[in-house]
Amino acid sequence: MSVATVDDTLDSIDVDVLVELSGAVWASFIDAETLLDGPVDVDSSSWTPGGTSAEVSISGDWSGLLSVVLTAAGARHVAGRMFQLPAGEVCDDDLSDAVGEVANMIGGNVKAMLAGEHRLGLPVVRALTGPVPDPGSETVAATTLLWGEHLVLVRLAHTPGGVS
Amino acid sequence: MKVLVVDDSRVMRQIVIRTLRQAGFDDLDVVEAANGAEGLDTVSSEEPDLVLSDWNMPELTGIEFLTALRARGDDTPFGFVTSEGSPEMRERADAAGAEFLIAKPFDADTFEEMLSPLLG
Repeated sequence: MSVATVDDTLDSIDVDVLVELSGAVWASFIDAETLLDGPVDVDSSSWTPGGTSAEVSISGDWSGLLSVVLTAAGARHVAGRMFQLPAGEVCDDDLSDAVGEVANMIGGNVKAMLAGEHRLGLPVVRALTGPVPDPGSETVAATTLLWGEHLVLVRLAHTPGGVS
Repeated sequence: MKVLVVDDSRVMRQIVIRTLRQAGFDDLDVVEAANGAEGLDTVSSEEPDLVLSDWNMPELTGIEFLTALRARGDDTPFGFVTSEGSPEMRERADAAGAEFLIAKPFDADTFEEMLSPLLG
């Protein structure tokens, strides 16, 4: 019986996997009624400035980054749902915590699919001051989803040198 | 009965506690800690009947927390609630003395199934 390699398991991680994992997180902890829709085809102009990005690193036999990008309003509504607070009452720390945990859950499930030995980093959450960063040439899979009126970008990228 | 919930994410601690209630464990006394190091101290001070811990945390990870507990002779029932639910992680959890590993995202039914034998 052959043993799956990291590359074998990476090949199985595609847009459908990201959609499924994101959908499970959304339905379980954010909104069981308005589910994630998509993938949707949008260009960068659809994103309003000032969003939030949360990333978790995967390191070991393979190195990568799982990131979740939300608009500012989307992030606030996600945090509000998770904390069971009105979106307007969410403070910046709560927003960072919630979006970071979303990335942690999706990233952890991606890591669980990989053959080999890996470690999951702690979430790193950033406020975006400009447009959504270009995915670049190392994207393994990426998808833009829609939660009500809010865009959600989920992306798995390969980071050959690890994450600095 | 008393449950210690350990996770560096405050929102996840709240979600775990809400899910405990949804699973029917309404009469629990719940205490919280934000990482494994705090968890070790809190087990000493609060003597919970069950620990529910994340795996990936700053200061002291969940597996380090469990290992340290068992090393000092503490056999408090311990379960992981983590985003990392691979077979390898489950084996490591079992080998270290965990009763179970619940993968995130989870639901109340899973909590009821996994925790009822320990909480009644």
